[in-house]
Amino acid sequence: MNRGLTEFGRFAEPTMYILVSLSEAPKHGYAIMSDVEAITGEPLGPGTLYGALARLEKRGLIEALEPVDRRRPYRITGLGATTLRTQLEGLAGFTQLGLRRLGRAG
Amino acid sequence: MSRLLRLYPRAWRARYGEELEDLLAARPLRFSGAVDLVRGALDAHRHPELVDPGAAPTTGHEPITRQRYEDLQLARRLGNGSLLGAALWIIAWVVATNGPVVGTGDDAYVDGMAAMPIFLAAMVLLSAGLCGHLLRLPATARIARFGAAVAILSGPVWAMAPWIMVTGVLTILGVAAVAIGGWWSSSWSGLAAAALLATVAGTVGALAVALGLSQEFPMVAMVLLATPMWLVVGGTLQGVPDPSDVEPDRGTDAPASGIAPA
Repeated sequence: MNRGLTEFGRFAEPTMYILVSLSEAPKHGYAIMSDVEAITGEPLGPGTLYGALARLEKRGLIEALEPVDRRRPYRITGLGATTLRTQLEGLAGFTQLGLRRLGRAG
Repeated sequence: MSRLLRLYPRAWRARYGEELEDLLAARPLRFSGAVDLVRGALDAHRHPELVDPGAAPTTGHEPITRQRYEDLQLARRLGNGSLLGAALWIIAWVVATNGPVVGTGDDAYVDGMAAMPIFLAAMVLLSAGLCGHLLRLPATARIARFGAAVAILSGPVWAMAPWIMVTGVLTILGVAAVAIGGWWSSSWSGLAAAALLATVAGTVGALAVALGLSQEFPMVAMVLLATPMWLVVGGTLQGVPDPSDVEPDRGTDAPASGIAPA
């Protein structure tokens, strides 16, 4: 069942960034952290990163692959892709509404 | 910086520790990252179910034994006593501040001794509520249980001899430990723990005003801020599982429904 990312509380935003990062290709923790920093311009703390990864893995939105030199890559699952798509479409609708109203006000 | 990883639960380190060590080796930790790691460790302790399927969070409808059910019923009754203590706490302050003026001139003071028995009763009822928490808290909530035990003993002693300030300090620290330990062990919600800690702060403020250490707030405001301590201690004992969640006695044919609800 798709319950969105809001149930993750303070981890909602980091989990979305991680899913966006993994939607490109499987990545390990360091690569995810660097990619998220490149996307958002803000560093993702290690505690937040692994708190978010644990939640995503628990919910089945990502899955861990076999480690390569101590680095374990993660891959987005089908459920994760569906959840991310729903989340992004919701945000896109919200963005369009906001911009439309701003345009009307201007 | 990998020392900070020791703050994480063992099961969590077994699952993610090696990856995180590798990450920290590749990317030196700044101060903000260290703070984030500590927050992550706190979160990992609060949510062991993330890495340990055996530590799944409770749903509130787990089967409980008859003994546990009766303990929770008793805890609720003790909590009702604590709620009554809130009223006595306010009455004690009203009586204390309206006592007869003794002496004249600069030596005159309000004699609040008449409030002592009421204050003692209020503290005994607070201890009763804390006894309820001792019954209710799981054995794993060691900090909270220890804090409750300390406050149960020190509170009434403090009421009988308020000049022994160490008993007051122990009571306040004990109640604070119940809030922090209860939250830490996931037995208390963050909101309930924060509410109880706020009342601890109110009590400290009331004492500061009473002892003349601070004049920033009127006494009545601080007394009212401390009052919810009894309410939170008593209120958090009110939830009792449904009788249908009680496991039937093993070895007997007695149905669980034989237990009357409170």
